[in-house]
Amino acid sequence: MAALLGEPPLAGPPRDGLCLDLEPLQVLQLLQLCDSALPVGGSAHSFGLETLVAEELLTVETLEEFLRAYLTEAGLLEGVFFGRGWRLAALSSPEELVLRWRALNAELSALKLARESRQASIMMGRRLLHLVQGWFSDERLTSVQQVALREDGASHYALAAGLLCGLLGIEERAALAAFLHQQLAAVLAACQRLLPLGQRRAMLLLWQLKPVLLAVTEQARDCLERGEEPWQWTPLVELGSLRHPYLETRLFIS
Amino acid sequence: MQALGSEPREEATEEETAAGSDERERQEQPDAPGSRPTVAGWLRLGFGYERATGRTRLLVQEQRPPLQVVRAFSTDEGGALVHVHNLSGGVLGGDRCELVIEVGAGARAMLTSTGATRLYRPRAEDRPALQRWQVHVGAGALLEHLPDTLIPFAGARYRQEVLISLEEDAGLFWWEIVAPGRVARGECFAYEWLELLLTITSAGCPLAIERFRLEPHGRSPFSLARLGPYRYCASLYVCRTGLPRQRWADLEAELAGLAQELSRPDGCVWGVGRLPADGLVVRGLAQEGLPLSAGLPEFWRRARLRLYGRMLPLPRKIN
Repeated sequence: MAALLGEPPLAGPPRDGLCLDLEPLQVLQLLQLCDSALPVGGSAHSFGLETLVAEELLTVETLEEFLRAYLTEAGLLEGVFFGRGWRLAALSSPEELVLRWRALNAELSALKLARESRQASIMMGRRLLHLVQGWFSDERLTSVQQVALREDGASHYALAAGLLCGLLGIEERAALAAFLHQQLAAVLAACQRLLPLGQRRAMLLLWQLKPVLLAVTEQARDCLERGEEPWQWTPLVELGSLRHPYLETRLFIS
Repeated sequence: MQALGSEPREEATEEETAAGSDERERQEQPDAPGSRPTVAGWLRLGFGYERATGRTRLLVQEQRPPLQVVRAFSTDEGGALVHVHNLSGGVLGGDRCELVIEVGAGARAMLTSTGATRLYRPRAEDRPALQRWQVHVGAGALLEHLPDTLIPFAGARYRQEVLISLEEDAGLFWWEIVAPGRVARGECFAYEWLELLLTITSAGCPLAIERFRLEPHGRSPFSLARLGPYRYCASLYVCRTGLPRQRWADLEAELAGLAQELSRPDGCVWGVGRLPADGLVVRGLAQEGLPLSAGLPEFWRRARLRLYGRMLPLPRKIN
């Protein structure tokens, strides 16, 4: 809001803490890419949660603890691969980028042992790459889009989102945190459909879990800087995904 | 089959008693003051298919305690069954054990343990124990690894690395059961940490990767994101490279039916899923160990029948 005539402009709050180097246009681009309503099919998948709810394991009461642990395991894996996708944008050669792209996607496919979750991740990645056609022009993006069109061209969502943010020059830490925020929002949206979880409670959780998101962001960046592989051990969620096709009734895709 | 290593042994017959000699030079880091001297176990096994007899033979055998193999036994279909002994009775703090398994083209090998793998409590100054497997399954060969349960004692720190490469038309059955500890003594998730890494590749492409770190004090295993109400976990990898996708879809559906039959929501759950290519994984979680140790062989038999046309009895144990 403009300052009142005759009064000095307000200085605004102090800018201590996290200081991001983002242009206003990049902020808007990041907001659009990480909008939970981005039409990539994320709302069609529960990634195993529907089974846990059907078996009365996951409830509104246990949800917060579950999400904290889930973020430190699955969130870290997704975050590291997002970062690896982001860092591919440093490559100038489309041929080299495609080579590394394929290897990273093959690795992530092998890490996602539950077929349902693996295919959901690939489908969302493909949709994202398809969606952004025409948004901006980059030869390297075109090469990856062509790979994604092939039947064997697995293109996981985390890698695709990371690459896009990297190509747009959006700072890695902010992009990674926003990506994890989008993932958490998607999980919460799924839980709102599965559980008696109201909007106020869901939004409160999303608010309260932001420090966890930032901690996982930093862990993922540490892994990336040190060249370490992330750990992930979520056997019950994985089993939920493996068993999801055999539930009697389902809200989400198998 | 070509002998492995720079020092090929004479062929060991199935009945031959092992002579555990190993000249391999190894560079080990110096041990910390007060810690156990590092034990560097070493086991190298090579299996070959003998065309004249149609049988698999143990052709290469090098070993250094505490790892030891006494002999190979014939299986009902002409394969070779080997029991891997740990003469210490388990893995001690600071142990560094390496196992190199080469299954030659057309050969069929089955490995098992002589009992549960106990991961003993280390001294505070001991380095973490490490067991590393390097496995290669040749063209048309089959490896079945059917060990007993891994039991981490209180305070255990253990890293296990398994790297498996599969050639064309190579087969693999590889299972693992991890207990929460010595439950009968009241030890449940009292270990410090386990790191379990497994990679299965075919033609350089990864089929399955596990990178698990179980750290009960820092990351509660009882979280719903991890084990929830369960305490034991099991996995079985079933691979045969080169089979069409539809075969795996059919086998997945069949084993998923078995998983439904064996699952009891209040005590044990099973799930089955196809890998990105050439195989599938079976996962089980349970409150007690018995449903997993009884269930895994059911999946193994069923998958073996579909992929190799024959079921086999579980390996007999020797002590």
